[in-house]
Amino acid sequence: MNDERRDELEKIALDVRKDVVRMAGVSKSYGLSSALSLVELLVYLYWERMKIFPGERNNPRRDRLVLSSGFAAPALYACLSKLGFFDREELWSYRRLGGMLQGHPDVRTPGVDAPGGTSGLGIALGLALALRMAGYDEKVYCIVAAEDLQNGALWESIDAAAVHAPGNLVMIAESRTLSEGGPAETKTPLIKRLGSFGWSASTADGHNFASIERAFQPLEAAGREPAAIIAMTGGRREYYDAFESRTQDKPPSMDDIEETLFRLDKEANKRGGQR
Amino acid sequence: MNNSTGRSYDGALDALRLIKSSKDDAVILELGRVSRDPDESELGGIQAGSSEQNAALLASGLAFGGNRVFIWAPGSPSFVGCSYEQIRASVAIPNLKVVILSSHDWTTLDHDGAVGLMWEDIALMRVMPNMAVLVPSDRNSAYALTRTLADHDGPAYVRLSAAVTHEIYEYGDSDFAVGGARLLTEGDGVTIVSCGVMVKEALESAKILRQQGIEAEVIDCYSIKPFPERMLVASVRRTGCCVVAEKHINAAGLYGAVTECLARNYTVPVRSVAIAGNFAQSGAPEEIQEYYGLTHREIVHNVVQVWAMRRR
Repeated sequence: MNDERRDELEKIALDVRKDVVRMAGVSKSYGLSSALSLVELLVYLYWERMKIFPGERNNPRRDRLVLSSGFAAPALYACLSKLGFFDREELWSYRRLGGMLQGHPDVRTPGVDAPGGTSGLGIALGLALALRMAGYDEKVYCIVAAEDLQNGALWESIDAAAVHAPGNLVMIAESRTLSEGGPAETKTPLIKRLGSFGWSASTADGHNFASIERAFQPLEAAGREPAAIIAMTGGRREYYDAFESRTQDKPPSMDDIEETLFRLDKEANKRGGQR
Repeated sequence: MNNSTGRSYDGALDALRLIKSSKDDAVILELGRVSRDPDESELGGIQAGSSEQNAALLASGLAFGGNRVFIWAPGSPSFVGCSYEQIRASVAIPNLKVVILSSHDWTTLDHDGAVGLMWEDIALMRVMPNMAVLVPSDRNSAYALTRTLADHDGPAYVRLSAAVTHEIYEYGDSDFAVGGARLLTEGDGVTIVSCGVMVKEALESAKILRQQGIEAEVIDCYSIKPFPERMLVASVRRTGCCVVAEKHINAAGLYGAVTECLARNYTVPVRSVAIAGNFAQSGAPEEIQEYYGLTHREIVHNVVQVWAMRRR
């Protein structure tokens, strides 16, 4: 990835992040940290990695994304609307009665490949096997919250993925409690556990496009063993930390939204963007 | 009723083998066997071993990938009980073409007691939106119904039995539909609605009742959901009373479906021959049915009571 492309992706990520904050404002939802922390990963996947067809949503030769951490749905929706899967206006009726965008991902929404839920990896594995059976080599990406690795059913799927080894399944375990500068002892056990189940695992700074790309690149040459990327999203939260801490127990006020959007704009200007 | 015997379990297996060889989009997921070697599998499907929750999720992914999935889950206590959340969120909510075939008494034919023998499964699956619930009464109807489900547009639960019973239908009888029922005997004295292994008992009780001057209409209500409302209401309009017989807890199963329907449409006295609120204990299948009163004698006893109160 050259610097120019990285700047482009960062610009897209800022737009997406601003839409997520606006969605929080109009939907009065709080606890947006999971959506905000996934923005770069989703932008990287959709704009840099995945083969998608926004005008032809049921094309069988598309890559699939299963967002197991359903709480992050606003980030997914902001990406999908920006890609043209549906009108951006839909974002403002997020999780409202009668609106298209459900609180957690729902397959009635164009561009959503599978329902969200703690155990989406099993669905992703089923999709990967279905693609294989059809003779296609498209990939299935599944984003899980690392906290959900405490869920027993997820380990049934982790085990089954190594047995069926479809070779086209990538799990991205996203953790806000792990950060690039954080202590190694918090991430090494996770890599070891996945390794003992027959998975290859690597780590990435979940906010840094270059780092994300470094983690994804070896997957091209990988064999049939399932691959996991542990994306650490605990860093670079300066522009929404205040927003989060102030709105943890209550929906954000318009002032909170305004201020956060202002911070994001400042961030954009600092990067030389024009908006 | 003909003289041959069989298991609804085997009827479903035969149908699955046929579906697998004749339908390109059919995928079978097999639970309950320890081996993961496809060569050792009963149906040549994808082996899911004992990972029940993952099997429901895999079925969801395979169905999203354009397949029609059959989950062969021989033990319903473990599958329905263990995977309820996954069935609900990943199969029923997106309304996928996933058929769950499960035997309520599989593990060691009732000898396991309460843990292995589940009689709450119909209730659990019936209350789940989008899910069809079917309970075939013999091998031949299990075969026909399973084949019908290969064209069903949504999720379905088929409750089978591993107990050997008399065949009620002839081999090749294909007059079964999701939402249907079969009127097995006609009469104007009482409506006996039954499903699964209790259909045979209902037919037996009708013979005894005829000797006592009560002509019973026996309905094999193999489709509990969607429920064949019209046939039931038409029948109780003729008879004025009803007895429900099922090998299930006496709540939210067939009895629940019948009483909900009659309360809405045409109220008549109804009695239930079912499990009265307790978990199973160990025993042979016939001993279990006897001990919990799931017999034709019990149906006769209830018919006599309800007949005396019938709506005229």
